[in-house]
Amino acid sequence: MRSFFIAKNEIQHLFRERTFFLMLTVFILISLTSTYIGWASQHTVESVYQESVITLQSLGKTVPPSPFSNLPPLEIVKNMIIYVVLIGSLLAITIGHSIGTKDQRAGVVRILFSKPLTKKEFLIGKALSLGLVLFAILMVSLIISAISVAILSQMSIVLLLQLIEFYVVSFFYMLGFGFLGLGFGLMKRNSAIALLTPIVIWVVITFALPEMSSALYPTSSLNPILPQTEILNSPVLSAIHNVFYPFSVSEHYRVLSSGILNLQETTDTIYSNYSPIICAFILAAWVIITSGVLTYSMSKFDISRGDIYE
Amino acid sequence: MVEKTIVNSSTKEDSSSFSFVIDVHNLTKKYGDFVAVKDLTLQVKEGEIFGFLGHNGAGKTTTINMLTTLLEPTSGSGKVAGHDIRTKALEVRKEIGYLPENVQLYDSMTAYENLEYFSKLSGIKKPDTKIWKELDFLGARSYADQKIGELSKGMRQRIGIAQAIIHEPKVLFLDEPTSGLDPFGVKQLRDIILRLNAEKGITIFMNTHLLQEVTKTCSTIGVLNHGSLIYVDSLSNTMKRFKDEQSLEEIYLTIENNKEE
Repeated sequence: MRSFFIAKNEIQHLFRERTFFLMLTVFILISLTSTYIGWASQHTVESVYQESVITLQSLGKTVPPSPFSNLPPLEIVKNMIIYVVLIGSLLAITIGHSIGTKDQRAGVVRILFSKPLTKKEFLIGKALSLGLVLFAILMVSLIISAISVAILSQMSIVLLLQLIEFYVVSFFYMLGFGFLGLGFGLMKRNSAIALLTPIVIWVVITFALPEMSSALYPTSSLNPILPQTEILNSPVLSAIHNVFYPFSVSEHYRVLSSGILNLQETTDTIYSNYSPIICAFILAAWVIITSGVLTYSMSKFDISRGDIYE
Repeated sequence: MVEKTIVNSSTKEDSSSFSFVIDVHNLTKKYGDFVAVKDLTLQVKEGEIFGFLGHNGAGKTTTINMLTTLLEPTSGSGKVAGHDIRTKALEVRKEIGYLPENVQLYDSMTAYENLEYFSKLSGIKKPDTKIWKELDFLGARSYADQKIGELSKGMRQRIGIAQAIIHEPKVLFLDEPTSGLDPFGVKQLRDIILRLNAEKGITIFMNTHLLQEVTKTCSTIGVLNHGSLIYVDSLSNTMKRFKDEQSLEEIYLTIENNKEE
């Protein structure tokens, strides 16, 4: 029950500081941007194709099939995958950090723990608030994406379920980063270090590991959609790929998400050599490991701390 | 006032049959090689207002942190309100209230919201009535809807005390409660402490530097010097014993100087 009060207090605080609304606004914007860019790019190419059909028909030439005739309807939200990797995870770190450092910044830690409150209850409350906030933000984003797809493309129960599944996976991906922000916020006395450490981890996971695991395929760094070309055949690079690829969580998230949204190009890419089920297991391990970091951070949390957070 | 013999770390404790709300034996806290509190043996009887004196860095806050279960002792044992501070921390916390030095609350929340939050963490399910009762007791009712960040130091102190007493604790720990208060604020706080003790029967354990307040408030005093308890006795006995000294300040300095020698 005390965990519930802790969570409620955290959420009220995020509302008052407008952190929640800022994050929500960012996510609404990226949801809208994602579907608009997806639709606009299709629309542009489709328009060019239609003009070329007219020209070819007038010349009596054979008309090739439309490149978008077999595209999955959820193609227009594909950019959300990149936005979650680049922006969503950073936002989750920020929210986690804010929740983790709030009591220390307020200087109330000793008063808090002079109450019959265990560290476990405290941590559960903090984690619960983080999860609820991320859930609320992604729920709004899901609704916006669903409406956008319905307007610009088509929507059905099956497609909606795919979209929901994508957002569930995105939630757990972001939750891991949120746990890192929260954990280091609790553990570290220096606010700069508390924020910098999970950001460095984010940089490694988002950029460094994909570069090293996709070393064979240097054009594949962030875009999961275009087909990849193996331009180098090197045992050294293969070894590097084999070592780092299992840990490249962002890539596994992208593979899994692309599969859920039925983005056919990605399933044909040659660097995604893990099946979606294995990717899902790796994501689950990501959440477990980061929650382990969070639990460890609580063991390091000094409840006799009196000074205002640095 | 409760009679008590002088105690230092080498003498026997008083064996009277009074109920001790604070009963610690050889409590020690070390940080590596540094000994912050050494072999503290102390009993505080129910209903006392205990003034804990000592120079800066003597170990007073460390002692309070151990008694309030915020800090694990390195060795020794202790009970507060009948519960072991090492093994029954949650039970201890149900019976104590704590006001740290430089009271900090959530600035963006109102006084009422802060009290509501801390009340629920204390286990009070519907704290509304209790909150208003304590605000009335402390003369802070009109400030209930103001954000903590907008309140004066003295009023924040009162709200801080409110959160510490709202669950009707047996023992109230105050760490330098007069720190930063003007003379009027100090007097108001003194009145509150005396009323808490007289009307609610709360035992009070107070770290303080203000010796003139000790003479007006406390029934018993203890002096900590470099982590060791060098003196404990009732205030009345102390004044009789050191009758050559003109004030508690001079008595305190004499005690400290005797220890140095």
